[in-house]
Amino acid sequence: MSSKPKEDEAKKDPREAVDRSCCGPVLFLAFSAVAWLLVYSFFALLAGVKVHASGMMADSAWLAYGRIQPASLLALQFGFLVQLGLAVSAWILSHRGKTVLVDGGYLVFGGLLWNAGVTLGFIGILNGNSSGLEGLPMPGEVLPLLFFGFVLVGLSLVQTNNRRTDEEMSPAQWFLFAATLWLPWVLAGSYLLIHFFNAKGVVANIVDWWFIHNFVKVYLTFVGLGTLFHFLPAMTGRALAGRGFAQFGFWVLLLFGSMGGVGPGAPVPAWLSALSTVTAVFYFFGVIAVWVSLKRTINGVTAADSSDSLAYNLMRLAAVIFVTVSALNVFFAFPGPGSVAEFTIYGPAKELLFSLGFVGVTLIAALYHVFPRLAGIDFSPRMTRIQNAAIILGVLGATLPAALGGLMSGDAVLGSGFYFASVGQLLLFVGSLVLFVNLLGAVFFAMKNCGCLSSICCGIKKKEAGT
Amino acid sequence: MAAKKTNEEPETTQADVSGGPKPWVFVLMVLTLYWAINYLDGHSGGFNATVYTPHSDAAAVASLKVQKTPEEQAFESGARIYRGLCAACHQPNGLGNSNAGFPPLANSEWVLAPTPDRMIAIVLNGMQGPVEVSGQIYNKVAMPAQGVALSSEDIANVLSYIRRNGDWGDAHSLPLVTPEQVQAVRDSDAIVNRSAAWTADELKQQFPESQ
Amino acid sequence: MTIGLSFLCGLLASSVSYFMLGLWWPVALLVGGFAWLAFGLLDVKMNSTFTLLGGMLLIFCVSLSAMVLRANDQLSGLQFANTQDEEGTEFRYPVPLLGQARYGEKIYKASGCVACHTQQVTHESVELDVKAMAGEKNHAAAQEAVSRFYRSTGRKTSGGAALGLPVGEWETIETGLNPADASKARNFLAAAGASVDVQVRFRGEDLMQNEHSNPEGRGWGRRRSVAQDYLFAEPPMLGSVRIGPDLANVGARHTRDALMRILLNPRIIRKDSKMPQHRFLFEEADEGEQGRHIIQDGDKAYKPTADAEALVDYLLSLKGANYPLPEAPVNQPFTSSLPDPAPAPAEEAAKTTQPVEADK
Repeated sequence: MSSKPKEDEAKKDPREAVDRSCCGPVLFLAFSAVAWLLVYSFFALLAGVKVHASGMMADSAWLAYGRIQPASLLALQFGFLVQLGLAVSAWILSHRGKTVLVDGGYLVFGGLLWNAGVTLGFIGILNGNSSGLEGLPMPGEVLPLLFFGFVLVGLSLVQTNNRRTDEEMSPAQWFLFAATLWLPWVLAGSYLLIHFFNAKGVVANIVDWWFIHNFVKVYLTFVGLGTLFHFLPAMTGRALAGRGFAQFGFWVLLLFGSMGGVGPGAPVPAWLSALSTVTAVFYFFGVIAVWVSLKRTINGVTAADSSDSLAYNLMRLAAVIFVTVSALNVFFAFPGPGSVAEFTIYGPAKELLFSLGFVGVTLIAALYHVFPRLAGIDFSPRMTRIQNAAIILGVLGATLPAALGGLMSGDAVLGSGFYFASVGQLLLFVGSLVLFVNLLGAVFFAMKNCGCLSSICCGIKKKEAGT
Repeated sequence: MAAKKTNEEPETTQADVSGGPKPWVFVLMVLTLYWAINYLDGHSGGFNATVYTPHSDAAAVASLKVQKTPEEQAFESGARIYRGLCAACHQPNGLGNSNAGFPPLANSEWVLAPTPDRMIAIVLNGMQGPVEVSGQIYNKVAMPAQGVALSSEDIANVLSYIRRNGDWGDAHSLPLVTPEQVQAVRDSDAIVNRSAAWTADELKQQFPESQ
Repeated sequence: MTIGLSFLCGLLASSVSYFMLGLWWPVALLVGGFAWLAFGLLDVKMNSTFTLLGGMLLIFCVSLSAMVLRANDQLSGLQFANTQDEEGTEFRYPVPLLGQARYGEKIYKASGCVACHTQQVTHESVELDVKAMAGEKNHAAAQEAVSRFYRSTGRKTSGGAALGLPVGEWETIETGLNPADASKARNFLAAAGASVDVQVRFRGEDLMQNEHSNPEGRGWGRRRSVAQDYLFAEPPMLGSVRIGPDLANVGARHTRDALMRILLNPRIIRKDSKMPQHRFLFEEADEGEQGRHIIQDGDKAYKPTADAEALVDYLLSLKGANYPLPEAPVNQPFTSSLPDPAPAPAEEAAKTTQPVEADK
């Protein structure tokens, strides 16, 4: 019933219809993602401060450092990155495929389930029910909820991609399609092995490392790259140079990114670490191929539309961060440098730089492009300027000193790195607060001014009236 | 501000300029594959579950378990038997308990005799009656026979421990008692034909050469 | 070529390298993956979702079986192993957590101690020292064996033991050897009829400190951690960051009282500690309450709750990385090299301590 009128609308004005189909679901996911970013940055700031003031809030078990730190990472990865990634994926897949978003309701319902899962996991960790693992710290019970939430969203995205107008698929579509399928597979596999089959001893950790590796090296990377592969050509008005490079990169990143992630000194048989080193080296071939393709596309051009230049510059920065972190990964995959960096805060700092500096910045930049087109209203430019400066300085400030300090001081990092990192986290908090307020305000004005959102509200009201 | 932005989407035509990695990239990858095989050869420990970094293979790990010398093996095994069987009466420090009637082993002239035959006989069949050790007479309790419970090797080891235990005194540095020595005593007529425990006089008579 | 056909090519390539060339399975897997990439994945048009889906599914299965299922095969069958403590008493390892320690593990997990503490000890290298002793009969053969060893490992044949191997005395052949060279030396010398003795020394900043062989040691264990150590951990909280010290054998390092104080306020023990206080595991002691469990922090007195007691029970039960296992031996000193190494110091110690006791 719902798809027929949409198709009719599509005949009238395809772009209008595509936008309208995306509007509600994408904004819902984007809004909850930004809310989780705010939660993340607040709790990360709190965790950082607890390192300086060891007696602060010592009476509260809920606010123990060991609880808020993994909880904040959960908010960042599953709350912010995955949700904003899904929102941007939905927008790209429908616009690239020139088709309406199929069953946007799944997106909203799946997003609700996903949010419920992340919330329960977040509270579960604070409550002391964490699983004790690092990649999947949330209580095992919420994983099925997350899985089904994601699958519902994924169903809509995969169907949208299948109904694309052009037969040809572009690299952006490959990467986003693969990412959308890959996370539920890995999530389900890890859940079954760890919690259902009760993996014994260190096998649970091996599965956990395998999940982390797949989540970062395949899922997050593919979401980030898919977004870059769509927007960098789109904003410059150029064609993507080197489809062959992208194809090479796609398969190499997938094949070698799906294996590895075991550190040099881990208490598991030596072949796991050795295999991880080898796959990390091959993975870098894919990174180079992707870089060549992107670099040739954007070489020497600026954004075609001046209003896009901000998003465009942010994405270029993100691409540079991606290549830099990947090069560091290859270097530290070898046992010699690897054992120097192992157990230092270099590791978490680098992960944060990758997930916020590359994936996060890419997605936020995409949001700058997407949001005005969906809501019909732009962000406040002054606040945008503030939040950009704060977020970028915050990401760099929270990661670079910590990473350097970690490398220089061996494992117990108790130096000035932590103080710098806290300044960075404070900036990050300010940035995400401004972004949240900005988004909230823009949505609020859009509701008042624009027909797009109010029509959805009216639509819901109509449905309610009907039932 | 409220003006809606246009949706200038890129036309996803064949615009994607084809062009991929040149053949030399694949040559480089094959070279890297060669490196990878060598690397795995050197660092993966033969994909064996019991090889951990930084060991190179299972043989290297096994070679780290240094074999102990026969003396040490005998001494350790003897110490274990002594703790289990003998220490209850003769005490872990070998000083015995004169009040309860347990004679000492440390610096005892019976233990430090040039040959271990008497000691072997005592362990095999037990001992009863008065015995003088280090100038004191012990006559309260009898020692039970251990010949059935212990193998010749066990007896050799525990006697080696008693006779070679440096912690008990400088004189305790006698040569190892071998299982063959024990077996020889065990097979001698004096033991084969006897089931009762020895007395001190009978022992001195039977094994005079020990004096 | 389609995904499926190229996958068959890859399968063929990996079977040939596994069964006919005798390569290890992951190497064969790598070769197969390459063939697959080269034949098919890089050549397909990538316009059909089925192409993508097929390739992804196959890669997923390869990844799952190569990384996870294979490791599970190897490690899920682990059982008790025999080991011995410092006094030579044999026991079955690991010891399951008993009583409150199991509950303490849950507290450890809930409080997120793993965010700052690892439970894994690493080691960097192993070095072996070889000594030998030759009798009169086999002296010449032993000396020949020594120079043969020096030649075959590219060492100078002029100095050291090659010059003279005193008859009937232990002589150092070489120090700091790797296991392969050491076993070569041992084989040469044993074949020549000499007695050989080997000392094993592990290096690594996590291991026990030793002025001679491991000056930078932090004393976090006698050997590296292996999978056997975590047989009963639910789950093993290995950790990845050391903001605080490693806890793999914290039970062997600290007493109950010290751990309680560190939990309540680490700055009682160390002024510059960054560890957050865990006052939520304690309650304020009543006025006038006495006992060892009362801890004075500033002007307030605290006593541990049942949670704190259980957590400390768990921490005290952590004694991994201590006992030798076949896959992870510990340092082994020269056994027969020095004539009577043990009695002399023991006696001296006895002589020096006895008068002191008598004075008291």
